[in-house]
Amino acid sequence: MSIETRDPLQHPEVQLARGRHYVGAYVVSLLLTGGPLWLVVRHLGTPRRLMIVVIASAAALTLVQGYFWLRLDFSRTQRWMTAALVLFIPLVVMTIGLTAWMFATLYARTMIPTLMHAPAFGH
Amino acid sequence: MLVDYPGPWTFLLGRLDAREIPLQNPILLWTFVLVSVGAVAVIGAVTYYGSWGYLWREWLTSLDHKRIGVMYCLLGVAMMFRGFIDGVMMRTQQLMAVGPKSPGYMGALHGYLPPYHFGQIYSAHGTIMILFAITPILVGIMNIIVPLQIGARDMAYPYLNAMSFWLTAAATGLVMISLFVGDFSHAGWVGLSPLTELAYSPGVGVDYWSWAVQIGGVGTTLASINIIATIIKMRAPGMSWTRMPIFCWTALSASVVGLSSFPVLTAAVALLSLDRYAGTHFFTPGLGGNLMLYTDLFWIWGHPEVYYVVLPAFGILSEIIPTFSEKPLFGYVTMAAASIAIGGVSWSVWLHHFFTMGAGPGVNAFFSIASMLVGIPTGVKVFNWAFTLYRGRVRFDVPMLWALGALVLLLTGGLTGMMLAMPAINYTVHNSVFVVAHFHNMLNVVGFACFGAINYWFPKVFGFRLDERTGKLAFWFFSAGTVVLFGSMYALGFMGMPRRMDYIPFTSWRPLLMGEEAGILLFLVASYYFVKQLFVSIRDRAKNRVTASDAWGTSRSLEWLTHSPVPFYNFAVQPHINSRDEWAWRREHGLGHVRPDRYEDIHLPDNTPLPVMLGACAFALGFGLVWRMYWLAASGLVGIVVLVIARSFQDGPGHTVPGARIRQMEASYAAAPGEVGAARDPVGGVAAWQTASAPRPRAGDGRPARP
Ligand code: HEM
Ligand SMILES: [Cu+2]
Repeated sequence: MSIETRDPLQHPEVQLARGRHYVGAYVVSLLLTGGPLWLVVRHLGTPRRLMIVVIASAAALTLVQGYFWLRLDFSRTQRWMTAALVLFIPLVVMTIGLTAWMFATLYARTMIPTLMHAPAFGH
Repeated sequence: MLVDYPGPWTFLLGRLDAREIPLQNPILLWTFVLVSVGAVAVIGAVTYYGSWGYLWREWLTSLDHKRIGVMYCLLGVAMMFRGFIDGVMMRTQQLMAVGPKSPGYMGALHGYLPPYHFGQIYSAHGTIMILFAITPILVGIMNIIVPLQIGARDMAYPYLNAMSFWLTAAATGLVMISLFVGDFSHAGWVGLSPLTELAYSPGVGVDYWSWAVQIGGVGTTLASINIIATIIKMRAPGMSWTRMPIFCWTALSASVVGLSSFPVLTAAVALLSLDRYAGTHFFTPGLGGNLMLYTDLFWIWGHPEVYYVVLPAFGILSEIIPTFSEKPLFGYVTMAAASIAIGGVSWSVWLHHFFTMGAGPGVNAFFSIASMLVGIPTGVKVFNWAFTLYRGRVRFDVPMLWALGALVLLLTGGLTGMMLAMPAINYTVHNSVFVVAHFHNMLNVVGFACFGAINYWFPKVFGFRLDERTGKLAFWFFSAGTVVLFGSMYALGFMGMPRRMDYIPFTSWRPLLMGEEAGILLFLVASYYFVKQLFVSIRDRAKNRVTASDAWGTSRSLEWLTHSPVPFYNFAVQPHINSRDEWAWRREHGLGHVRPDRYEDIHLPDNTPLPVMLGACAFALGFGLVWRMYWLAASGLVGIVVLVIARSFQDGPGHTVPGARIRQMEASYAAAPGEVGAARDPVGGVAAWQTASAPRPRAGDGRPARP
């Protein structure tokens, strides 16, 4: 409210990532996906260790892209977008998680043949 | 063609041909005659009074949140009448079709509605009442009141606001036109799957339903975004979170729920449309489809939606009850927290709508417990309202009557909800009319709150109060109708009567069905009095004129600080907030009528026809898709894209109302209660709403001032 401007594009909320950030984040993303892929292909490490590396780089990737591409940070203008994302994650986990749980028990009990063999549920 | 459906198809008209206009059905024919006569009367009156220009400039193209709110409410109330007539028809059919000996008329074996027609009526009734009556009325009220309560000039995105409204209107138009062109879905308001699939519903009815739901869903999602942004970003200086009126808290919570859940509905129905248009198999039985996934997705929206409508209703009660108890709301902090908590829990209970589908006991137990948790914050609210009433100087004005009625209904509706939330009970009453009674009971809480809100805020918006006597009659008949109708329905539910029956085999149910019919007749009387209340109040507006900013004398929140009716600029100078219940604070400190000595220029956006045109294109898109007139659908879509692009080049600079003009307009308002200012005189102070005209210094002659 303290920023007085008539041009909506001047608002930091609506500006997209700058070119430098964009390219930088792209390169980092490539490294963070390519690196783990290379480790897995080359079997460098125990499966357990590989899994940790994959998960960690996926988490880092989310942060990098969120920060440099979607401009989610804690500055005054952006913090509501960050808050929205943080509030959104439990919702996604909850709806998809509970739905999967429901269907997993449902298929077993309703015994619909095609669904019981659905690969998504490990049958 | 990707999918097979019966019947001819031509390029120009798609599936439409003259036989789709149901002239042979006497009910629809008469409805059509009635609607046409009504339309001619309205169009004639507008033409006679030369108001087309006024209507277009001041209303249809308006970006003013109050006018958009009023249009939302008008749309909602009109649709509520339509839905109500559906209700009367269903009740009458069920009463006429009891037992094998009951006669049949107009092509029906029993009663007067054949099953297919009956199915369309209950589907339309539910869809309309929830999505196109209650939801628009509540969005309209939030639109009007939220900016006023936080001291803002308008919503955060006035243009988006108009667009949301016109999308909702386009969707409503689709539902309405299905009466006269083609037919409507017969698969229930929930879109029972796989009945909605093309193989089982090859007509256009389901398509009408699905495109209306999708277009309306987009509109409501955008409206939610707007309200969230408004509350977060547009609060006046000093309006900290803990000073915000509870109605705003509930509007915020409801809008977060709306924003997160409406897209699920839109997506679920879009997948269904892909099944029907592109031949995919998301929800078909077989070929990899999963029809239970539709039910799951629908209720992921469906349950949050019921909280989307009940939360603003709770907010309304929290505004009305303190005003007419003449004391502050009890337990502000817990009330705000409970509003957020109810919104939060509402995401994790949806499976209680299909306990009987067959998920494992752990799943059902989880959702059962989650559903019952809702009772805790709701209980907190009920106690807070009770403690607000306790030792208050309670006045029984019309809004208060509706609010107290809502409290009683909340109790019974909440308790039957708890019963339904226990899987063991649910297995015995699921899909019986007990469920129907439960959710009508709860939606009546919302309905009562809406009527309360209309009575409560009407003077703020139009400058005169609604008539007391007819208002009370409407209230008592409506309440009596509720008890008689839904009391009988609960009983029938316990007796095992399934929902959605067009023929009732057991004559022993007849007495209670007669009770239901008696109840709906009481509703009919109530709606007569509601219309009469509006009529009498407009006719006698001079008598009920509000001469102070505070129509009730004991209101508390910020919207009562500015004039009634609210001028187009809301507040002459931006208010600085000193306290929770700002208006009560100023009144108690003798600051109620202080006038500022300096007025600043006010910047406002220009009106624009783009939102109406977008609505029209959305309607064309929907109508074209329903009938598979692909050229029309494509033109609608192209129109939308072009308009959106045009808008981004043509964001007008807006206009500035100079401070001197504001001073002039302010001076035309009464300086003190009891005095009548010039701006109040013409019809409900329409002059005060004119954005272009100067206030008339002379007393009005009863006709709206023209710009
Ligand atoms: C907030 C206001 C409420 C509204 C507007 C509402 C509305 C509805 C609606 C529309 C349905 C089902 C419709 C259908 O099957 O077509 C329903 C069913 C149900 N409601 Fe509510 N409800 C509300 C509150 C509650 C509460 C507080 C509870 C329990 C804690 C509850 C528990 C249930 C259950 C368990 C069902 C499913 C019954 C069945 O299908 O067997 N509801 N309600
Ligand atoms: Cu529910």
